[in-house]
Amino acid sequence: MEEDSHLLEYARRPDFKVGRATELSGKNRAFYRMMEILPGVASWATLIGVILLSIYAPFVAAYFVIAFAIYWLLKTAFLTFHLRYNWKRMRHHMKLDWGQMIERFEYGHLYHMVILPYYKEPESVIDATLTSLAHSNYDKKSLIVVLASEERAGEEAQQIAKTMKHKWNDTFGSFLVTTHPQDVPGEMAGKGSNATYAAEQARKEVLDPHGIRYNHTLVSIFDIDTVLYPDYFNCLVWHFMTAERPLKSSFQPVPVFNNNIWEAPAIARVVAMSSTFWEMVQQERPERMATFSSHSVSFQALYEVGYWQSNMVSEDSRIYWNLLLANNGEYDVIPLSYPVSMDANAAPTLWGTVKNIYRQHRRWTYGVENFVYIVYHFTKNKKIPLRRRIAITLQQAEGYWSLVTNPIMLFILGWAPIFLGSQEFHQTVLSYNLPIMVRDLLTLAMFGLVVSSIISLTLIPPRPNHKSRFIYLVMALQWILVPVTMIIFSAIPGLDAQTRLMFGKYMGFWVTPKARIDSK
Amino acid sequence: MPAEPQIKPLAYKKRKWFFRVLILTFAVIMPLVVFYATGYRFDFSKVSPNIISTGGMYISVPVDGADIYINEELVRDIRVFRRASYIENLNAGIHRVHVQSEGLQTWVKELPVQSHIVTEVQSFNMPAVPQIRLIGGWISGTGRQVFPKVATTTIAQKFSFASTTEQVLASTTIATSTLTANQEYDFVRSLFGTSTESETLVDRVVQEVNNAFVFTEGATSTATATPTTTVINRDMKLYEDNGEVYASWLGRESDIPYYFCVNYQAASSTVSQYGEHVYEGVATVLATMPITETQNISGRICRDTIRIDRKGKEVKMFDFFPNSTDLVLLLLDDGLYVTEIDDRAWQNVQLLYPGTDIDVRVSSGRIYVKDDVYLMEVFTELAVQQ
Repeated sequence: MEEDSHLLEYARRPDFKVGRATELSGKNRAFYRMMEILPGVASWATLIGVILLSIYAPFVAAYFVIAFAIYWLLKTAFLTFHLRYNWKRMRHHMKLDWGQMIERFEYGHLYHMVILPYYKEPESVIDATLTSLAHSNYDKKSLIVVLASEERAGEEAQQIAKTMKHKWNDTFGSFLVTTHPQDVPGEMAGKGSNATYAAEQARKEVLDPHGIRYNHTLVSIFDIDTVLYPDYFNCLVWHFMTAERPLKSSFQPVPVFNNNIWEAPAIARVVAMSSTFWEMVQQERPERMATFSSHSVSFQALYEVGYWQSNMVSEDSRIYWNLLLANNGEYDVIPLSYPVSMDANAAPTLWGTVKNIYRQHRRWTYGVENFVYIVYHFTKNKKIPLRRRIAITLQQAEGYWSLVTNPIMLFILGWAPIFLGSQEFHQTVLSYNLPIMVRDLLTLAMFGLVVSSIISLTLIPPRPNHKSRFIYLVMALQWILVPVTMIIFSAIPGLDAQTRLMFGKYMGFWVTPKARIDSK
Repeated sequence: MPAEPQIKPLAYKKRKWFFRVLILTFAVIMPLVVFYATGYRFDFSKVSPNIISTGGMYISVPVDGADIYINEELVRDIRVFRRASYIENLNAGIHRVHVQSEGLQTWVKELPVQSHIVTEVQSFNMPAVPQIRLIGGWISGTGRQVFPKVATTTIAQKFSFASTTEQVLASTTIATSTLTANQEYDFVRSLFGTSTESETLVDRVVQEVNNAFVFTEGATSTATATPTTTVINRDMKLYEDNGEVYASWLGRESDIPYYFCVNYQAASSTVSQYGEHVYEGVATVLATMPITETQNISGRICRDTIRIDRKGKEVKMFDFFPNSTDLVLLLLDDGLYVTEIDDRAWQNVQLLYPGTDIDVRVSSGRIYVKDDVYLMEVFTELAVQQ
């Protein structure tokens, strides 16, 4: 950026886009570093605390475990309530004719900039995404497609960009290919730096030359495997036009990881659907939402904060926090309750799938770096109401803490008092009843999985002819894997990410492979 | 077409209301679950229902399908942990426990149950009819054990009290030249110290193996001399002192088996609940403690030695029951017995093989008996007839 006069006042701070403690100095650096250490310490202290409690105060540990199991049961009920409601709402939204619904608005002035950052994904994946764009029920001439490639991806990626431009150039209002240069000082190679470069190039090469106003442009940044449902832009426009403060809002669809669901192994299906369900739950409690993965936002808002951060991993959520802080808390996420389809993380081999999912979730859970960022800036930006700052801090803290500790405490440490407790504890009725009570409570909590199982079956694409009907049964029963997936793909990568941050071993951006498996 | 979706986002008020309901549910359920888990029950059997404190019993039953009776009533509502059963909701007091199964001897014990405490116990049920497998010196072409120069009726009469797992060939006319020498017979004979040329070879092999491997903890002892005076298996020691056999715990106090310990409230209650002999052991422990500690002592007290009930008979040999440190094999005047170390109330003693002139060896988890000129393996479970 040549200058920063277009930035909001708070966004002009030199530390506005801080990525890690090492970018700061003095007291700020010390505080930021302390915050980086805090989540890992809290999670480890909890886990070790349960073990120590089991050894030295097994009765207290047993009561704690029972309380925790009840809490989990009720939390399951709470989340299932939200999930079921959003499922109902999403299905309703999918049936609506949004094109007709927006007829009452004057929206012809709106443009949609679709940014598609990619790395080395195959042509077929990119083509499928562009095909879905071309099939959307919206005036394609209002779409500005930005295919954002990476220089470091090599010649093959550039060739794909050329092929795509040749094929799709005439379909959309504009089709821009950008090439994010490699090894830019101060940048981390990743989606954020690529998207920021693409947005700025699009501003210079498309918006400004054509006199398109930034506040008339809605930017949708999609992962390259995102396949749109036909009414996405109509739905987006409706929500934009009805939003209380449309230019101060991000719009979040539901990422349904089902593009390749028929080819993915059971473990990948469960993990993918679990991620979808979590986003569905969040859609019904927007006050706890941040943007995630594919989402939309006005160009004006992006421009006022200098686009996405280029120096950190989880830029998809960070942009929301950037916007919230720069707008002094006057910023929202509006849930669309409308799906976009994405790929489940699946590799050609089961072990490859497990490794990929682990890495992807470690990257996602590294979003704990946002907690550090929020707390740091909440001490700086006093214009955001204190109550809101406290509420957000506690919500985020609870989220990252429970993500790591809850599955381990429930499914592993729940038994610690039995194995580690004293003889005095072992001879008590409490000691004998503890595993029975915990097992019964967790079994009751399984009703949440039954609901998940039913909902998941309604979200999968039609069964390919070469797939047996028997797989529906497998898909219904696959949810018994949840205790395992929660530990392996949620708690452990989360703990891994928090521990890395705690020790200052900062993570880079790991690109999830998006190659689709040929099931035949 | 409506101007807006008919299904609105979940209202904040509704979510808040549901959240509060769940908090209330937690507040109500939590104490109830904790009370239940610690053994409190609501007693509806009385005219005026009240809350009572219960205990439980955890019974290890090594026999599949055995019936458990408490106070002469078959227990149906049990939670099964592998080969053990957890019985809940027992009132505090003495309970009489039976474990029985068809074809097996009945195990009976009276045990105290205290509020909020689970009384642990392990039953054992030896076959009612001794289960033996005769080991002949020769093997026929069809694999049968052969007893040459012995009449079939002689064997049948000799072992009429027992059930044999294999049919044997006994004949005064069989020529050994058509048979194969039974190496197991040679081995078992060597255990009893009877030497022949072939046994010398086996003896030598056994000796070599013993020299190569030092069997210490973890290995059930094989008797090498009679009478045995000390046998150690893992952290449990059996020893003889002045004609009595004792079991003594050598391991860490935290790992001591439950039957060494009692929940002590007072001398009188310990006597009534566990028996005077148990109190004697407890009193010995109390005597070693500073008097200030013993004045108000209440709780778990563990002895480290238990005397084994020899039924007033002379002990010829003792050893650990195969693969167990809780049961003891006792060779008494009139037969081979299995008894438990657990002396709360009394020690169950079950006959494994009768006989006044028998010798016993335990080797590699098997019990061998020499009765007269016959060698056999004695089984501790009901053997399937072939």
